[in-house]
Amino acid sequence: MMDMRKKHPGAAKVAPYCYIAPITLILVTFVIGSVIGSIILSFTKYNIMTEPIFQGSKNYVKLMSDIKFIKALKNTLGLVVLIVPLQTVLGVVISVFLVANRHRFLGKLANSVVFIPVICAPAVAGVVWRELLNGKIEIVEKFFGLFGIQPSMLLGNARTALITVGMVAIWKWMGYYVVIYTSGLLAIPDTYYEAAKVDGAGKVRCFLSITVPLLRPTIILGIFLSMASSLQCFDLIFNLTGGGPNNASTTLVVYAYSKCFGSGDAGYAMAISNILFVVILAVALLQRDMMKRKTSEVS
Amino acid sequence: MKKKLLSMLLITAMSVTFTAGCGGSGNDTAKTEDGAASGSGSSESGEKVLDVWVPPLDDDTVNNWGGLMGDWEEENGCKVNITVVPWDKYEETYTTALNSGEGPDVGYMYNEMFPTYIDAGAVTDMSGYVTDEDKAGYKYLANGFMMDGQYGWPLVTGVPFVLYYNEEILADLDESAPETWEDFERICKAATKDTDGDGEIDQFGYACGMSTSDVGAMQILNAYYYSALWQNGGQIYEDDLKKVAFADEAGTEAVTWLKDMTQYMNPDFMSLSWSDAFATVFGEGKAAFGVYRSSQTDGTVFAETYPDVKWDFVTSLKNKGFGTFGATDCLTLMSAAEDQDLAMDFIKYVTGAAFMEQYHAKCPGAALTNSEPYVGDEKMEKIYTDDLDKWHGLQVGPCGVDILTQLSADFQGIMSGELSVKDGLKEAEDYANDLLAEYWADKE
Amino acid sequence: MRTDMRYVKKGLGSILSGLVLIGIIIASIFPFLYMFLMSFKSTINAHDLDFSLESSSLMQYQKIFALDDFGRYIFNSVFVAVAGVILTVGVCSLAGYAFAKMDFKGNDKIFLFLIMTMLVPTEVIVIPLFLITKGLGWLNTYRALILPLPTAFGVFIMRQAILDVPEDLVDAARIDGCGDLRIFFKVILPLIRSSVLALSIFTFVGAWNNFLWPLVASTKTEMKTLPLALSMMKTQFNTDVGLTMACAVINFLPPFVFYVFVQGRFKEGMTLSGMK
Repeated sequence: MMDMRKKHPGAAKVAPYCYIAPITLILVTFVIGSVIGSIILSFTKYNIMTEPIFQGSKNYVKLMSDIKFIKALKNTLGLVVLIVPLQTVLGVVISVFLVANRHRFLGKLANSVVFIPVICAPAVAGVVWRELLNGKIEIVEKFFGLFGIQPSMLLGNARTALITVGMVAIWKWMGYYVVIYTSGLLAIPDTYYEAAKVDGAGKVRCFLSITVPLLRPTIILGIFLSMASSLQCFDLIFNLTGGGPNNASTTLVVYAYSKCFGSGDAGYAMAISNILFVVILAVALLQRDMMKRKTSEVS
Repeated sequence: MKKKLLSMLLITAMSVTFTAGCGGSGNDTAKTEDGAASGSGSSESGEKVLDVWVPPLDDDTVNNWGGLMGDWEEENGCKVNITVVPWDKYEETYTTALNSGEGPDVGYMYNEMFPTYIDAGAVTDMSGYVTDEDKAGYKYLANGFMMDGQYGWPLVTGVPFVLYYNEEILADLDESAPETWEDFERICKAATKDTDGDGEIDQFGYACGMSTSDVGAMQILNAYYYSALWQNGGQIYEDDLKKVAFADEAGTEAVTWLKDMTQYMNPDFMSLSWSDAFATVFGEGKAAFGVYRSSQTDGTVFAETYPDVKWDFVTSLKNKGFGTFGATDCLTLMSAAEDQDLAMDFIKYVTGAAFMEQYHAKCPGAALTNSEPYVGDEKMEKIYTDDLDKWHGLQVGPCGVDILTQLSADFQGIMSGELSVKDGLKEAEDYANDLLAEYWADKE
Repeated sequence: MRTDMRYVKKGLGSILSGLVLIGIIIASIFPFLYMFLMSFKSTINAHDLDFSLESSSLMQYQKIFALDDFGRYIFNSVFVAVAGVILTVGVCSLAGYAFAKMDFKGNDKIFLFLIMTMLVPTEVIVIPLFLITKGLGWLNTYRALILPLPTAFGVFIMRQAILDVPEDLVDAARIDGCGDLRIFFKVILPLIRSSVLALSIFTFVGAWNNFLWPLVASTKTEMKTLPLALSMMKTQFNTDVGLTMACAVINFLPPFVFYVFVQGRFKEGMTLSGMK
């Protein structure tokens, strides 16, 4: 039995493909299939209800001079630039802090409840935050007052609307990143820290010369995930600002969506989403290194 | 060897079971449902079925509205199958269902929705079914006439956005109900002040909310923009629908005036939605004026909701003329309906006086026909009598959603001070005219 | 003297970090507390924060539970979410196992390819996805709701966890004559339990909160999930904050209960790391 592998090399070679077949089949059918579908449809005039009519690259030509599209593209990138660094830094800092306090009751509690915002639907999070910010609630007004901010002004200002959406998104997904970074942190052997302590290294020193380098693969993963989620931000925007004021918080997803269903111009919407795919692909290829097996190992 | 094979078989079996397992149970439901859902075809028992899609008309539509269908069902030997389509993602549901042929026989649409569906041939022109009797009986039938056809049959209407005022604030200022733009402006100016002497303004002239979060981009136009535009004699489209007219002199003047009013609004007016602004600013007695979608029961509801506010309302101010927006939501005869006559009979039945009287007894609403009596608070009755001509629906034109969405965005930009009135309207106008030029070029 | 100072310093630090922890806790739950309290409001003007008993009411909840077929919607949601979790854990852990512990041609490339699919936003592919599902004849079936649930993220987590399983253990099992699948079930799965649980939570939450896809994929009332059913209560000009919040609470509770249930099985809070 033991040397079966040598006797029947064919079976051993086929097995791994069988294992990855189900998920590959699902993703290829639904996701890749849809992307291909959207590429095809982007060359048509399509209102969803009647058959698509081929019209060449007209949609893409139109995109080039569409002011709303340019604005949405800028907002999309702006949201990524806003969310990704903050989410990553805050995520790591909070995780380190929670891991350090993991044996205290409050630490355990905090570690559990920080995941609660992840559980709730993004649309619900949007509605609740809109009510909190606009509801004239004394506690909330006082808290924001500490920073000289009037909460009910935030969502209506073209300059702060997108930033506010970004902040709520960071709040919403923090628990997710805490889980990811905590796993990475727990995988760092305690002996490293003990050795550093013997050498007289302080906490900050330990963080910078042990935690950060060893956590690097996890951080890269975190950056990748937070880019993916910030590019896809939809329900939050929809419920916080509706894309306003004056499209100041309209992203490509929001714009494509409203074109597709609001105006019944699905072909054009597909052209918008294809541009989004290109942006996403470019972003992803920039981080290709993290995909390599060796660098992405947690421990 | 055997083990290898076995393991591989297991994997395949596993994935198949997953697929089949989920599929099987799905199929069962689909099958039991087939009969009821195959449009106006017949179910197993040979009984006809009419599929009707409506949004939530009240908080229990299926029982309140659907519960009154019994007589019609019996008379026609046809079962009415009501599906409530949520307002969230409303168009999504219609377009995808029409694509897969799962759409209803009778649908329900609001004005701005129509052009897309008319162009796609999804809704039928009901002109041929309109009798003289209908013309005389139905009050708002004209509102369902758009793009050269009777595509809509009004079902819910008569709840225009009207201007509420706080009687106490006005009395303090020795003012009475405003009639003109000048009255309005004067009162707004006087009302915007610090009442408790802490140096902060805490009472405003006009409670407004111009955020488009979740209520959709059109709502701020419905609540604030159309009234100013129409009262100043402007309109959205030119009469031939080939160009837009909202950026002409009248339109510019109207927006300039509204922009001027922002100094008397609650400072966070860009963050709130129109309904939140009414509830949290006007409803708390902190503003002289507020705009809200009226209802026959406002007298009762407001007494409970805003017990401390003494209020009254004017349907419309007057500048060059009167005007404020009252939505008309219509039932539609879908082209996919197999038995068009039957579907039409149903539409007339549920909009008829006898049916509506019963329904409005449960869930108050405006009368659709001349013979249906007014039910509701006395205070609100003038909307349907003296003021009937002061409010109306929207001019329906091609590319409506795109044009109005862009206009709404530019309107926000103007109100927040990001754009000048001229630049904002110009941007919306150019955008709209480009779309219209393309639309009419395609038609030729 | 110096040791005293150190104790004081340590005590202060402990108090300070305690405060920060409390801050994190408040930030995480305050919005939900607010949501919960608002759901007992009965009038459309729910903004006065008066939470005395007489101004609260269960009216909103009564309205929700009075929905026809409420049980059916709950069943649909739970069934879809649970089946989604089983399917996701099944297919993702198998694939993760192959990617982590087996050498085969194209291992890294296929993995990278799958990971890329994670970046595609659902909202923009919903129409092509609908057309594909229609083409397969799966509209109005559970299949359409469940099968698109697994994501490449699941494969990623599983691969990561299985990479941490020491090679020695796998080799030892192989020497004992175990086949690949046996190793997978007997050795690997028990060791990556916490990652499996974490993935279950992610999937359950994702499936439960799906709104757009179930809406588009199922027109029949019988196939509607709970979030869809709740949204049917919202009339056009709804300003009833209380009802909105009550719906939000009802929609939030099941995944929350699932989380609390699974959370109890983690020793040190939820992590993805199988080994610690």
